[in-house]
Amino acid sequence: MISKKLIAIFCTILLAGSILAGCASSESKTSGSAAKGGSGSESDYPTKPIELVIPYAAGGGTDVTARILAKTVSKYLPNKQTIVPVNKPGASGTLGLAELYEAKPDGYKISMATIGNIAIQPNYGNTPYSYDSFEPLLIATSVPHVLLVKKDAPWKTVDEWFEYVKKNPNSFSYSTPGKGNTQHLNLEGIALKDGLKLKHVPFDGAAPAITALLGGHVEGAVVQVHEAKPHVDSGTLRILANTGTTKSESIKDAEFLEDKGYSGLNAWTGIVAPKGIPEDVKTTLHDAFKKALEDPETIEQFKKIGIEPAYSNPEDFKKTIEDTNKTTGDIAKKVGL
Amino acid sequence: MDSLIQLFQGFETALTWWNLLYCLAGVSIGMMVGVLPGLGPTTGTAILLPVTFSMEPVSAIIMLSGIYYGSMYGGTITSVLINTPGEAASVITTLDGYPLAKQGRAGTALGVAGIGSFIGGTISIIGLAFIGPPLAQFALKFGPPEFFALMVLGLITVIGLMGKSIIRGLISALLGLCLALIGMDPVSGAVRFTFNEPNLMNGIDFVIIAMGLFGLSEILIGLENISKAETPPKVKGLLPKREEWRPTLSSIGRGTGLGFLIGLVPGTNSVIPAILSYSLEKKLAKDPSRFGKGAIEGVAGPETANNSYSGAALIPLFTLGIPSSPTIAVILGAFIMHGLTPGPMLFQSNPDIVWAIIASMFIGNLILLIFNLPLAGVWAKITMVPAKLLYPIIFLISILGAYSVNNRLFDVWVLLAFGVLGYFMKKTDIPIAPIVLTFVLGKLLESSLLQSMILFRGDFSGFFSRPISAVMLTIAILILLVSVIAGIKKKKELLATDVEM
Repeated sequence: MISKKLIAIFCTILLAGSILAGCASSESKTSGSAAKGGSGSESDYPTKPIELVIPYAAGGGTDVTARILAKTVSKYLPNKQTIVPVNKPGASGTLGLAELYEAKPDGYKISMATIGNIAIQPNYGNTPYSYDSFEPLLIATSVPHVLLVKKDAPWKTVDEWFEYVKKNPNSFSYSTPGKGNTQHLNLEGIALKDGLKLKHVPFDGAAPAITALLGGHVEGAVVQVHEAKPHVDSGTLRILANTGTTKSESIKDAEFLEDKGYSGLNAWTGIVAPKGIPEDVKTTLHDAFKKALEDPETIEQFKKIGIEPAYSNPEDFKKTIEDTNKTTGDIAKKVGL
Repeated sequence: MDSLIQLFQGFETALTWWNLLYCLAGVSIGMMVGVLPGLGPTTGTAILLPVTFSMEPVSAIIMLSGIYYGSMYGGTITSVLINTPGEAASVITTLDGYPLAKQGRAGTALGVAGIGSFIGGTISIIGLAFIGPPLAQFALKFGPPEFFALMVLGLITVIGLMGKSIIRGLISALLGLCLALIGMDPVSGAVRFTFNEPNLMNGIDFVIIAMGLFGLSEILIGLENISKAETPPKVKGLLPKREEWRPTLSSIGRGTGLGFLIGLVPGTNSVIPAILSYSLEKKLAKDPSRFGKGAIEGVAGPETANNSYSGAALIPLFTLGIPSSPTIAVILGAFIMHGLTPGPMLFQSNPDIVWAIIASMFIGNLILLIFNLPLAGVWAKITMVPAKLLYPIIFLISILGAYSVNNRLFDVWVLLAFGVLGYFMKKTDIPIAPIVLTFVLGKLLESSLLQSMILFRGDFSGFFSRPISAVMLTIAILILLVSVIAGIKKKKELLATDVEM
């Protein structure tokens, strides 16, 4: 009987709590729309929590990056408003962006965007939006890709490897986290320069791709630096080359292919808003996220997962999206995707 | 011996009241996300990951792994009570757990599941502690060709479960295979059966299909009889009858072994050992006709297998740094964020942390057993709630659950569609289980076949040039030949005795 009473009390509290919460959010909604009605140039944005769409599954790299930022950014927002991360995964990150594409440009819904879902996927014609359908706010992180081989692989340097694949076309097999995605286009883009032919084996995600290399089922793998790092540190895998566009602090010794005249790709992650958001809202969001990116706590936590903040302003971000969209589109066409 | 001493030192750390509290919090949250359909351990761990930033590394990982294995216990509850799997691994449990609940034996089903989960979970952690590393090295030999062979073997063994009518079973199985084709194939990049609907690009989520086919269809069927005043059966005891103990314990034993072996192979998921355990139990049972009508082994085997799997799946993480499922990938993230590198060096470089985590899992499993056994009777009372109250609640929870998988409304429509499909399948006596089996195995079967074909440059004989895949494929072919020959010999008897699952 006691337990019944307890349950009843518990339920009542829960119900009361949810009603209160419901009232609170509807209250703030009304005040929010009231504020927008006012035509003053000095808006009091933001007056309610801001939704940050994460177009990838919970637990992935973009998700962790977004959640780290969301935690600190509220400190720097006017009225200390909070950012609520919501995962909308699916279709290589394009579903979440497609949702943002249809959202109202009021600054209360923004989204994470990566080289994959904003620059590369529109090339394949399956997205309702194109690469320039959004208002870029800033790039937050940028991580190079690496070409990994097993510790005991016959190639000591990347030059030896180039020699080998030149002599043995269609023989070197490598895994990536999926066909037509950044990692795949990255290595194919490098191979195109010398007309090299490789054997691509796509997997569903970086972990299975690395596993296949560890088991010796493929001879190489292309993944992001921080995904490779644990295996490199423990000595089972070796980085043959940095195939990205920037050098990375954590892999100083790796040969950098851009130095040899190859153009690579970095996996960058940024934040975009719907086109047409008010200029002052855009500035508020940009400034807050920029400060969050410079916050020692953020830097510390990024460092722990092996990535470094890499800020780009809205103009540079816009240009990066444009350029990447073009170069990857060319590569995809040439390798027949 | 060395490991044993270290394990005891691990218990010292894990038994501090602070870490005990985190362990308790972890397994309680795990139970909860397991119970709620749609909300799974991956979401649970991922959302709590940022919270652990400021915690001690040991406490953080103790809590996150608690969520992981705790969810395996929780998923059983809704499967048994309302025929709606709370977690992917518990789909198979609905087949016999729900009929048991209808007979008033929900308590027994939950009790057996709790005991089996505890045994499976504990033994697999012992395996993780003492024989993990060499086994994990062996599991790395499973590349795409071996994976393909394993899936073929799996599909062959489940064909025996098609039901009274082979034709109806095949309809269901092929439907499952077709559903597995929807979306973008990760290997070829081809987009199939999406009709330009972006929401279908990633295919349909397994949990949503299962919730619709099993849970929602059950409500629809139940609605037909809702006016008939049906007094729910009284809830009887938590433990199996005396004559059921022996078969139950042996299926727990088999489930432990099966779950452990499959857990070692990176890239599998917790549904596979549950499916294989169920079909194994049915094959070995003296009277397979009881399955699907409340056979206690049909609950004990799969429930043990998925818990044993969850412990063993940590072996590739601890020893090789490979996450074999999305949830384990989050735990890997937690390791890295706290400055630990899982892999061959982990046991040497941070023995204190590793052993404390392993020790905490023994404690966590014990806590879960305590949670589950006495409470099984309380949970089981849910079946006494009259249908007119229960159905709307289940319906609401299912819809919320379907939405929360990907946070999109589209999935709710998918849920409703599969609910209606399940209703008509039940009406026309088409078994539902084969859809689920072929759906899970079909996806992996296809991508591993395509990957193997790239590796072998299109030469199919390559499968027989690798020992593991050659052996498994040969066994599969033998099983097929023997069944066909046996089928021709005594065609009619065989078909009549094989019963719906």
